[in-house]
Parts: sequence; structure tokens; C-alpha cells
Amino acid sequence: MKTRLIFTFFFSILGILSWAQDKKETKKEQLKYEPNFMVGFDVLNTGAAFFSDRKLYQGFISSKIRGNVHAVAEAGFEKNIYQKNGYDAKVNGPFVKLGAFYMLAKDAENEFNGFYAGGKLGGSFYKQEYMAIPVRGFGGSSSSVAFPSSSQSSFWVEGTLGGRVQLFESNFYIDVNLQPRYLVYTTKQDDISPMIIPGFGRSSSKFNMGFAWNIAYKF
Amino acid sequence: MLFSCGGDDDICESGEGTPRMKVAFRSAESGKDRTLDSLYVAVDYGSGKVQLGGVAKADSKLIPLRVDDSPYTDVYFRLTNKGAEAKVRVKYTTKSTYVSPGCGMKKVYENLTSELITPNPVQNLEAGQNQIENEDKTNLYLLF
Repeated sequence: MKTRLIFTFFFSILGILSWAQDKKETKKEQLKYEPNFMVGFDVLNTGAAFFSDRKLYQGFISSKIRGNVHAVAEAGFEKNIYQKNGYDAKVNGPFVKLGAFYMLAKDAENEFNGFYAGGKLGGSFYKQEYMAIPVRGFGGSSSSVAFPSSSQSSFWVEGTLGGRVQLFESNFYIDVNLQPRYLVYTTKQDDISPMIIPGFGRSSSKFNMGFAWNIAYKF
Repeated sequence: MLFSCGGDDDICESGEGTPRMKVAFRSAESGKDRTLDSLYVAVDYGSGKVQLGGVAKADSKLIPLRVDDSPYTDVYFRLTNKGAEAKVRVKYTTKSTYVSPGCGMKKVYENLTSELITPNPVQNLEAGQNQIENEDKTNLYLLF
């Protein structure tokens, strides 16, 4: 029930945002929206997945809406473990992010080249299992409690700060961005704060930073 | 990693974790609370005795109990460092509750019962609050 409420909340925010943009569009009477898409895939995190326990695969689709405003949708899948300070946990699941960014500075010849900043809302729907949560004791006595696997969901806001560069004269682009994020809401199993969340990362503190290094193709 | 500036708050502040057992002292003759000139405490956490050190001019002492699945903790009391040692077995049932990312889980002790296995210098025991949820109330009185 709570999940549904959160959903409604997020989509109503999105609704307001897109509505607001529509209104501006009519005011300024700018160029009409021409279908354009850029599809990218994060190659750096995919590569890193071979060497670490964190398996993160993510990609994005972005489209120039009007002027300097681009809409962006991201989706991905992450599998991760957390083994630290007596904890032993694993998670896996998909995540999605929706948002928009503004081209702050762009190349005069190619408006898709440049630097941008924006924001996104993210959500993850995942499976977690805590094999051990520590009970900290005294004098070397300690123990742990295990919890069965369960399905949880988490939601966060995310900033995006990045740049795009066309590769020579091709339709290929390199898109690099930083993603500072703040955890807004998460469902909990027996009140246990999640230590890792797919798409968010380590969540023992609410603030986290992610990044993506994409190779993108513009259609 | 360069970008992982999230910072894990792994710190578990004392008082948030598993509560300790509070032991106070009484006179065996009058039954009144008394202050001990010195007291030395040791606890067996499953791998031999661990000395918790001594206190001077104390009217109570907080003692951490075992957090593993053992149904009891053996506590040893001495009045002087080299003196006779009394052994008290504290039995309980436990319940786990979640505290925070830094602390993890904590144990709450219930149905506390104590048994004086080796008397001297402790003459007798008197039960206090029979559950340990925080460190405010006295759980066990030692009669000297």
C-alpha cells in the first residue's frame, strides 16, 4: 500500500514537471520537438564488474525536448554484496531513474556536445538477504542474527552533472556523469536499514555518490 | 574508490547497543545498600575469564553479559585483587532487536535468575529487575 502511495507521489511530481514544461513551450513558441534519441551504455561499471563483487549494468536513453532541456531515462541492474563490520548481506534487482538535465555549455557546431546538470528520481525494486547482522558484545563475545530473503523497494533523488563529447564525426558520443544521490524512502524488513541498495550503492548513510561512463549512440 | 565519499557511519555509541547488567551491593546483616571500598569483576565470555578491572568506592557496577546463544553468563567477584573469588551464574532468555546500521542488533535479556555457585566474599544474592532493557535499574544485588 505504501509503495503504491510513493508511486503516485513520484508520478504526480513528474506530471507536474512535464506539465510545467509544456506551458513554457507554448509561451516561448520555440522550435517544435523533433524526434531525437541518444542511447548509451555504461562501459566503465560493466568493465569493473569483472573485477569486483559489485555487478552494475546500466544504460540511458535521452532526448532533447526543447532548447537546452533534455529528458533522460536510465535503467539498470545491480547485484552486490556487503561484508563489513560483521554484516553479511546480498542484494540484486533492477532500478530505474527518470529526470531531465539542462545543457549549461555547448558546442556551437554540435548542440549535443557540452556540459550539463540536472536531476532525476530513482527507484529500485530488489531482493535482499541478510545472512548476518552483528550483535556487538564485549570481550570477544559476539554473535549475529540472520534474516530470510525478502523483496524491498527504495527511492531516491539524484543529481546529474556531466559532459558529452562526440567521437570524431560519428554518431557515437562519450557521456560521463557524476550522480550525487540522497535516499528518500525505503521499505524495511523488520525495521532493518538496508546497507546496500541496487542502483544506489551503500546506504548506511543516506548520501552517496555514483558515476557512469557511457558510450552512447545518437539516432 | 575515488567517488565513494558516502561515508559509512559504523560507529555504535555506547548505550545504544546491548544493555549491561547493573549490579548493586547490600549489607548481608542489615539488608541496606552499601558502598564497597573496592571490587574486582571478571566475566567468562565463552573463552575464559576476562578481567573487567576494579572499581573503588562504588555502589554499583555495570557488567556486559554474553551476546551469543549461551543461556547464562558466569560472573566472578573479588573484593581485593588477590582475594577470594565468588562465582555467580546469571541465567536468562534473550530477544534480539534491531538498533541501527552502526550497532546492528542488540540483545535484550529477560527472565533473569542468578545463582551463587561459589560463595565468599559474596554471602548471598537478591534479585532486582528481572529484565535488562536499559542500564537504569539494578538487576542484581550482591550481599556482603
